[in-house]
Amino acid sequence: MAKTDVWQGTLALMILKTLQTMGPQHGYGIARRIEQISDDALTVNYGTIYPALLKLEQEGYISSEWGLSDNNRKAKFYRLTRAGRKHVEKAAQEWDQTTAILAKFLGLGEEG
Amino acid sequence: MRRVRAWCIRLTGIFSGRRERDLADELESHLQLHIDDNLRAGMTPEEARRAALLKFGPVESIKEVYRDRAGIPLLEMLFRDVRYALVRMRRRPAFTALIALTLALGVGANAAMVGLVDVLMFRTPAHVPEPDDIFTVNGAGNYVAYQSLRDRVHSLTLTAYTRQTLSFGIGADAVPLRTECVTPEYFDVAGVSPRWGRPLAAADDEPGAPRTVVLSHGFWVKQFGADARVLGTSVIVAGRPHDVIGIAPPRFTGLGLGAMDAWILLAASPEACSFTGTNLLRSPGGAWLTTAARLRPGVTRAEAVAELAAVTSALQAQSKPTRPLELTPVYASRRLSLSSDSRLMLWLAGGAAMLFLLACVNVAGLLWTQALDRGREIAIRLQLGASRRRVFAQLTVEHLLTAALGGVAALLAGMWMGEAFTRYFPLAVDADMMGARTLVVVAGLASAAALLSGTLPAIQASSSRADLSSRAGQAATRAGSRLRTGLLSVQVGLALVLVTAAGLFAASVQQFRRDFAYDLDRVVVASIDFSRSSVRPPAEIYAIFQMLEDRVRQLPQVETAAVGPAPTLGTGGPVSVYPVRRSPADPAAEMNAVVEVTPEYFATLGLPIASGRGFTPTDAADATAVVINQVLASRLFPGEDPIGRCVFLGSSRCHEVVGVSENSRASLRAGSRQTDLQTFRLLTDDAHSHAPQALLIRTRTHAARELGAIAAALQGAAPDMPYVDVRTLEELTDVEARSWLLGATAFGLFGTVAVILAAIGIYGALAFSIRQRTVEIGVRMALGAMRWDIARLVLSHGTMVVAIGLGMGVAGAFAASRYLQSLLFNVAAADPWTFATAASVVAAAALLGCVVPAVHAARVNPAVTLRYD
Repeated sequence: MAKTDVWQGTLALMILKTLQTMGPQHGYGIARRIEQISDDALTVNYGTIYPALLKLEQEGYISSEWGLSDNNRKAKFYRLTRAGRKHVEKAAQEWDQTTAILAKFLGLGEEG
Repeated sequence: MRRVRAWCIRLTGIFSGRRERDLADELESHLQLHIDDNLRAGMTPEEARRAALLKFGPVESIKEVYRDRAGIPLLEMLFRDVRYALVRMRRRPAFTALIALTLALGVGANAAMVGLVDVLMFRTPAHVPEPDDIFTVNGAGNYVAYQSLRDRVHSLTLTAYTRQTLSFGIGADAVPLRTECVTPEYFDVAGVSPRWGRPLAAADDEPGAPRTVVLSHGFWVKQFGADARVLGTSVIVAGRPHDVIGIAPPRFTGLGLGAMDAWILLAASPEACSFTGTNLLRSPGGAWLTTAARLRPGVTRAEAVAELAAVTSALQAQSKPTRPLELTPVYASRRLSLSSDSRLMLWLAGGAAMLFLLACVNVAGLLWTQALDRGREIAIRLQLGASRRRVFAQLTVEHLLTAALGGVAALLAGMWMGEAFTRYFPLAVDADMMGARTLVVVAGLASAAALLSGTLPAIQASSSRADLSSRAGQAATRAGSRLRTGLLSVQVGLALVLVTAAGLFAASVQQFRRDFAYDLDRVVVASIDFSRSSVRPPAEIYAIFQMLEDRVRQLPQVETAAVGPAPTLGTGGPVSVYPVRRSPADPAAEMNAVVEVTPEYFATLGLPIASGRGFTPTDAADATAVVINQVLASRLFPGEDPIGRCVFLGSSRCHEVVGVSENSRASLRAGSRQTDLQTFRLLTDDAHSHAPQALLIRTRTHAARELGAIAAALQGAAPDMPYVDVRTLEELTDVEARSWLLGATAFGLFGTVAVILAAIGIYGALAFSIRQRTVEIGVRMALGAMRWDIARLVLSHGTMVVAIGLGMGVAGAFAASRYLQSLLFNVAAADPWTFATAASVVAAAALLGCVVPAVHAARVNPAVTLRYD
């Protein structure tokens, strides 16, 4: 799979969605969660999440601050901003549409 | 929108070092969290850490991606390069300063020339809107013609104007006032309204209306300290009270070039405004005014031309004498109107361009040696993995920075040079030389210089083999050495061309000064133009001059004084032109200037009497004695002794020749004949038709030093004195010689810089090659070579470079000088003496650049050197 483009876009969406459902979370937690949700189908380096987090923060969809984890470790927590919440809904919707269309297309191919 | 926000944050990210630490902390915390989880899952501490790291991925490469995202990599690289370049520049201040200075001089000269050309030829005067709608009406040069056009032409707003220097104030406080005498429409045509007050208006032109004046901003600041209360007060202009009604906007110079002090109405002061000092308003002939016009709104030029033609033919039908009229754009035509000046300017621009080239070549040479010097450092960087492009970019950034430094210095140098040059272009005085165009040119030239001179060395340096030994660099040195030697010769050649040009102009100035037999540096000329203030009979003016002469003689600084013609006025003043004859019956011979002087005239000017005697006070009684000059004596009395003979000036009265003076020019005008026939007679208070205009004063020391004291004494001599124009005779001749003086000054300046640059270039190249060859020299000496042999080795190389350069320079100067001929005065373009002098000056300087390194080479200590590598 050509990782770069699709991966960049989907990873961002996955991060946002994760934050939406779980609330404020640190990078490790986000990476962990994404891996679990995908039933370990997505095995990527955890490290790759950080540039994506930085990009989202620069775009203003998430914000970050240092805090303490459940087991009292210092960690940087990310939370969705209002713009991020709007964006995740819009993006999820778009994604649904795209996949629906694609599914139809692919379905057609199978029938024919 | 989100993108822009992200870029802004990234831009600020460049400058914060905080991110880096934050990232490290975050990654550390990530690993800790992961390790904690792994431990909980039952791994050993080592296993837990290993697994966490493995899962995380390549830390450094992720950090790199993160960093790229945090800032803007290209920009960060640039900042790093700039910082590094600044460090390097600071570490070698002398080298950096040398390059910046070289560029400053090379670029500055061009900046000055561009500024001058811009001011004189291209820029439209300040504050004039739609300048292309303003035209000069050629063919309407007097007031009558202006009036008849004004009343008939409807497509144009017309005005007529002329420039005069009048007296402002009276007595001890009088100062000169550069005045434009205009008609009331003048400010409408210019499209300018005063900064304060109102413009001259038609109502001011009504008979009986009080006289009015608009002052220039500059004059108002200088004379009244920018005090607005001067509006509405009365000031004395040309001896008469005028109401100040307005102050023009800053730098407004009227429709022409050159600073102006005031505007008054032509019709209100016709005598003061005319060049003859008489009222010319009703005289239908002559061309003493400039008529200018602005297109009325909505009118095209073609329509205006058609109407002018119709009016002209209507006037001709009424058999009124009318010349055909033409419209020339005031500002577009300026480009052509300076023929001689603009040709000289082109030459100067050429000289400046040469200097620029030379500066580039010099800087290239310096950077080259420096790049070779840095071969080792660059080799290390290449071997550590820096790409050639990175090295090249880094060097280029360094060169551009140095060039920027040079550019700033160039602005200062340009301003200074521009100021020096404008002294010779009176029309550009007070103009703002540093316009936008000049700044653009400076920036463009400075970066061009950096790229021109920096690219080759940077390519060479960045392509040097990644070899840590400096010997590899030496091979490259030899490959480039022929080219560098060639460049050095070119520098010497260019310097010689510039110095030769300076020499030719200087010789012209010398030749021109030699034409006056006067002691130029000891004479002060005080010109007083009474015709511009009030109308007095010549006898009264003569009496005033006598009084002034007596008064000035009593000053301790003054050796003697005389009344005579004002040299700048040519044949004005007490000079008449008669045929001088041996007998009353002689057929009219050549015309000849008869100059009326007081007895001390010859002593004052330092004009030697070749035979016989000068005037004595006893001659004054009968006033028949005359002194003639040598050229007239040889014309009238060839082979005979003229002393005691009679000459006749227009009447049958015998004027006895008492002495023969050496030849000198009758007028300072450069264009006039080299030696004029001259007869001197005594100025007496009877029967002279011309009022004297100048007092000639011989000072005890250098005239320029005594100018102030003399001016003060004269200006305060009478309560109603008009402005006394006091100048040294040298200054007056310099005005006439200004084109050669400018050529000599500018090329002298360029040439000096060029010679210094060439010498530095040679010095640098030889010094560098000696440093490279230290080992070889050491070996030679160890094998028995004497110090002299080593010095000769270096010298012979240097001398060859200089010799080739001189050859090229002589050829170049010879080729160029043929075109220079028409700009010179009585000097052959291929003047051997000038060529020889210039060549020896350049050779001496260049050889000095060889000698110093040669001495260094001879001092090499073989024992030290051989241990060194």
